[in-house]
Amino acid sequence: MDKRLLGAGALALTILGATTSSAQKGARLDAKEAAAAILGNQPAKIGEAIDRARAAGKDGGGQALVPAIVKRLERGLPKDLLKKALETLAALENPAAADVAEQYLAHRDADVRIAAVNCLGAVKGPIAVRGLRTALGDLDPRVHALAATHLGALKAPEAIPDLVIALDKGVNEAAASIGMLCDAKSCDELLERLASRPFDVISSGIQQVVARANVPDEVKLKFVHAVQRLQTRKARDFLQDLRNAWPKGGSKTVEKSLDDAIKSLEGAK
Amino acid sequence: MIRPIGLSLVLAGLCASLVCVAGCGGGGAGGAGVSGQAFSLEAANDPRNDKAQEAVLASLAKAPPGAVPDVAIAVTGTQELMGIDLATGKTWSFTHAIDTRPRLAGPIVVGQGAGEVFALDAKTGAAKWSTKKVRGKLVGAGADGDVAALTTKAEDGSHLYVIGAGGSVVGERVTDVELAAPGVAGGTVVVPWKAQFVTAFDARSGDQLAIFSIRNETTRILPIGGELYAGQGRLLRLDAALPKAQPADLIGPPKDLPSVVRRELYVAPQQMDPIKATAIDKTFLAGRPTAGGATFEQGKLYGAYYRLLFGLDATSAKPAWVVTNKADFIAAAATRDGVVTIDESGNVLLVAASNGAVTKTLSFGKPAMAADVEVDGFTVGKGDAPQLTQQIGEAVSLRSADLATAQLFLTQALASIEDEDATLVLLDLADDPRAAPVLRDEARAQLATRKNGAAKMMKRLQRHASFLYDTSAPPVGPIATALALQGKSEAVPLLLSHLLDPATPTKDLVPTALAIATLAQPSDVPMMKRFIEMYRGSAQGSPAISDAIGALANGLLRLGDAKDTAWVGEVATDATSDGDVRTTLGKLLEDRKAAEAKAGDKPKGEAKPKDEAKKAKKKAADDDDGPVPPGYKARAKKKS
Repeated sequence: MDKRLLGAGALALTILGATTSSAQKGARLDAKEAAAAILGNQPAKIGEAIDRARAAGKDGGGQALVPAIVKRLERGLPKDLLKKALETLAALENPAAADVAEQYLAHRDADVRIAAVNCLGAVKGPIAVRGLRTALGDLDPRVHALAATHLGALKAPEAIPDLVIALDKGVNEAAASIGMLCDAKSCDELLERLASRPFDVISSGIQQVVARANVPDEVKLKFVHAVQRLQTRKARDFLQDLRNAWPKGGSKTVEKSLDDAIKSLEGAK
Repeated sequence: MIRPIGLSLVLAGLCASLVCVAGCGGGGAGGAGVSGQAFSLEAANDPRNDKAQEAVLASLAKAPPGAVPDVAIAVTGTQELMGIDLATGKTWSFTHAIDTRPRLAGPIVVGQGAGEVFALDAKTGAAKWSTKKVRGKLVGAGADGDVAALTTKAEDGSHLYVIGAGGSVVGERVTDVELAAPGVAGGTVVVPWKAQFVTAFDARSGDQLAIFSIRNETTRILPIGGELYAGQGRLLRLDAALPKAQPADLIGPPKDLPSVVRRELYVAPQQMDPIKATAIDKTFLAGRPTAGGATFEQGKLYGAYYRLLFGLDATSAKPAWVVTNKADFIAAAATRDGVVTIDESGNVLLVAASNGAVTKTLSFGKPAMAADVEVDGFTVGKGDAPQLTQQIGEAVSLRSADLATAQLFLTQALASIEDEDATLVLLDLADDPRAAPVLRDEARAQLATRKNGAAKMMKRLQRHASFLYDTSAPPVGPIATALALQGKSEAVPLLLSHLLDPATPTKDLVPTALAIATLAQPSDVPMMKRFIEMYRGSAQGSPAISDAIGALANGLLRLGDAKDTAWVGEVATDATSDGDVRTTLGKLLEDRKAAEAKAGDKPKGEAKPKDEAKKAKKKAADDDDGPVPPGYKARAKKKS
């Protein structure tokens, strides 16, 4: 008997404790029964139990089933259940799922890999960042685009060089992520691409840079002026949107710069 | 080979007329010749033909063709013909309208354009003669000394012209029979017709000297090394042995010649008509018959395939070397020690027979539309050249779909080269996504059989496909098979990393899994299980994945850990495993059980009853310590 199979009973006992805890919080999830179902060999029951974990949510007892779902994923499942399990782990946002989600980035089915990327994006942590950086090199456009998006949200500045390469290779989603992560120097990388990449793509990153509180005014001004130099209606509309969203307590210098730029672009085509 | 032509072979409807411009009587062969219409089989029925043949051949032996100059010519424009002296590299140029491709004919070059036929000194380009009396389009030309013979194709039939010094037409015949390219030697004009007959005429008198029937396609009479040869794809020497010649006497390429180069040493003259070189020119086959022998100088043939030039073994047709050129080859002539080639860029490459070394490059200085070259005593010399493996490596690395046929031939040739360099060439080719699929597939197939190059293969396995870094998966399957063949168990982690890489092509899964199963050590088990677990429920009806799982499971069984064997049994019966996977693993376990049962039934290793009895007896003897005191046995039993 495999150790993992032998370990199912012990895992169920662990979850029993969690059930008690969940029950104390009023959740209806019978974690012991659900864990047993997840670790069993009846696909229908596995699916139902995973659904119950998801329905319970991360604060309603679902967390207690994370170890069982992880174990179940390690042992393998039919494709629809694989996806369901990964999506459930994503919903439960438990970092303990990172290892197994990273493992499934290697699955030959792109749908499964997409589920794994979403799971990593949700569970966060260093393993998730490592996995998403790997996924940035995935040959499937849906997978690497999604990875680019999640890397921005994961606050992983170490991924910026990869994101810049991805942007140069046409992964538009990388622009916003670079905008979310860049420092003064790496923000210049984004700015430089204003001339070579479509405005709509780079503007998604610029929007992030200008909106960030931790970016110095001079960097933001550089972006505003660069957009201003485009002398197009699209640039004016973009700056107007930035201005409209500018917080009242925001930097007056940037605010004035935005106003000046918008004014200078009046009538631009 | 040469047969007397009987009445049964006389063909009806042949109509030939003879215009004897020069005085009749006498002849190169020194006899009266045969009667009957020229270019018909009538003459062959003349009982004197056998003797006449002997006389003609004796005459040719006595007065063989003179040495041809070592020259190359090229059409470098519709108004320009150029020549190059191979010995000195000195070029000449002649401006004239050119309507048909000029021919080298012994000491002269014969061209046609602006309503006239002209002859130049082949070595210097000096004008020798021109005449407007020649009718029709030039088919072929031969010359020796001051006598030239031309064949043309006109509306009223084929013409044979004998041109004397100064360009005077000294003889003409017209016939509705197709005439091919003639030759001239010692005052005898030899003309092939209907692609299988040859008639010899006296150049001075115009007398028909003899008819030869040659059971070999014959459209050319060629002076090579002071002898006349007849033929096309294969050649027959016009010597005293001709009447009794057998098929084995034909000098030609081997049957195994690859379907890459042209299969014929020469082609029908009309195929050389276009002024601009065609694919037929660019896939030439050249070879120089040995003097008096039935093979080729240096045992080599030379074949071109556009930019590639092969030195081929004249017996086995295997490549001995290959030259990769920048421009397409369009003409060649074999020398005693190599080959002289001309390419479209106007370069003349002298290539050594032994190793394909380009010993010298001459140039016309401008691109060549078409070319011709003839050599006699010329030698190309020797030089250094890379090994065949390297030469093939360069040739197959060219990315041109047009070359795929030749590259495939070369790749196949690597199979017989066992060195590690050849393995590397195959590895590079199998790993090149830009290579033609047919080429890559061949390289993959061969790579899988290699018994060396493991270090390079493993280094290649360190690369994975990445969108970010523009890298593709290496040819994992063939590499895996080769590494298994070489017993490289240290490669298993790398192989596993590719088995678990979604970018690994499906076709590589099974060979990779099989190699892992063969090579795996206990430390590899967790990753093998990971693959099985990952896909056992999501193989999605992919036979490759199911089979890969089966192979890995077999590897686990081979390693013999009882727990792993039990685990395989559980996966095989688990309802969350795919049906295909359950079937595959179930069969695997059944087969194993059957094999074990069979092994258990084998008499070998089992003690035969007689042996058992002997052993028992022996044991009893060993145990026997002599008479046992009363009570001892009981004590010993109790003790035990």
